[in-house]
Amino acid sequence: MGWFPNILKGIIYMGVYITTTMVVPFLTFTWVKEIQVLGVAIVLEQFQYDRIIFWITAFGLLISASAFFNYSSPKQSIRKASFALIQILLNCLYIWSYKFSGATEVKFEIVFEVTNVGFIAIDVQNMVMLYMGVYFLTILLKGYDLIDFILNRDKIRQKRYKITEEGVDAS
Amino acid sequence: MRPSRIFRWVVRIFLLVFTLALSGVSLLGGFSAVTILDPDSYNVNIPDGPIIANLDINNKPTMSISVPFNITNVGVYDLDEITLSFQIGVIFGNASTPTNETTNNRIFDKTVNYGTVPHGQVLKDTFSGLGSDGFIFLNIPELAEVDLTRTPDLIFHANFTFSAMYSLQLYKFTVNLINYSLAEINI
Repeated sequence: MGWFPNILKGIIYMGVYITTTMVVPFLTFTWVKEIQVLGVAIVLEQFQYDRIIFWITAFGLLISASAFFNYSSPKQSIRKASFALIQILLNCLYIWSYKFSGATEVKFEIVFEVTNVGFIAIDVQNMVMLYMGVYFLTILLKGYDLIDFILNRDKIRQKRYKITEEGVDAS
Repeated sequence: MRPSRIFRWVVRIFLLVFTLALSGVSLLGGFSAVTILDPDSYNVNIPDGPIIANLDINNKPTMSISVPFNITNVGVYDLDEITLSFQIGVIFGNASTPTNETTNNRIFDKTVNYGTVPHGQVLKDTFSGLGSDGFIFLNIPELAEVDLTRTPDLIFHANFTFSAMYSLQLYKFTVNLINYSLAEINI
């Protein structure tokens, strides 16, 4: 694959990651920030909302940038494996940021007229921990990739150049 | 294909299946939890009927409260670790202080775990407390301590907390209501 399709692939995946790690969570938390049930306002506390959005944006930007470098790198290259590993580590921090920003235990105040009459809290910490388990396995896989690409560098290069030469010959 | 690539694909497929299953459980659980908590469906009714209370501070051992409730699990998973917590506070003018300060004492505090309600089942029960089972005698004011010139003399208010785990214990939700007016008594 030439440089232009690789760059295009990187841009497309960067767009996908911007949408999934920043735009969708931002719209979701903005939507649930102030909803009404039977005329009773259920309000997500402002400082909690700001903290969640800050961490989502910070890690979302880093993940999107590393996704660009990951997907624009040639297949089975050390560069690709390195950026894939960085991206998965950032993904772990992103998931973890949901926990330390308070997003895993979102508390909605129930306000009737102007009086606070209680709260509804949803805690998804166990689910985040389970996802962290999946990410841990993915880190092992990406580490394995990196070692594999370093050890078999010559074989991969020979195969890549052979395909390119055959491609040139064919054309 | 190199053998190392084949091993990688096996692990990758396992991870994909695992992640998809986890995401499926999360989505189904979230959707299902919303159907249980939907206020229009009345699946969680606390209280489900009148609260019967004896709040006579002159006879502490006979003080009692009973709160009927019912919880219907219309979701696809079991509702686990259902816990109901109930606190009662009393506000009064404290005659034992120089300025008859307004005092707020917690006189009742009890938490009961009702275990699991399987999907499609209903839990109908009464939360109750009698005497030392829930009431904190030390915090209940003596009649001599109450400033009887105020109206009302004693204001009782309650806090409810309902919590449960859902979707294979991946979600925990808590509903808390504070300062629910229970009674106003003139002695």
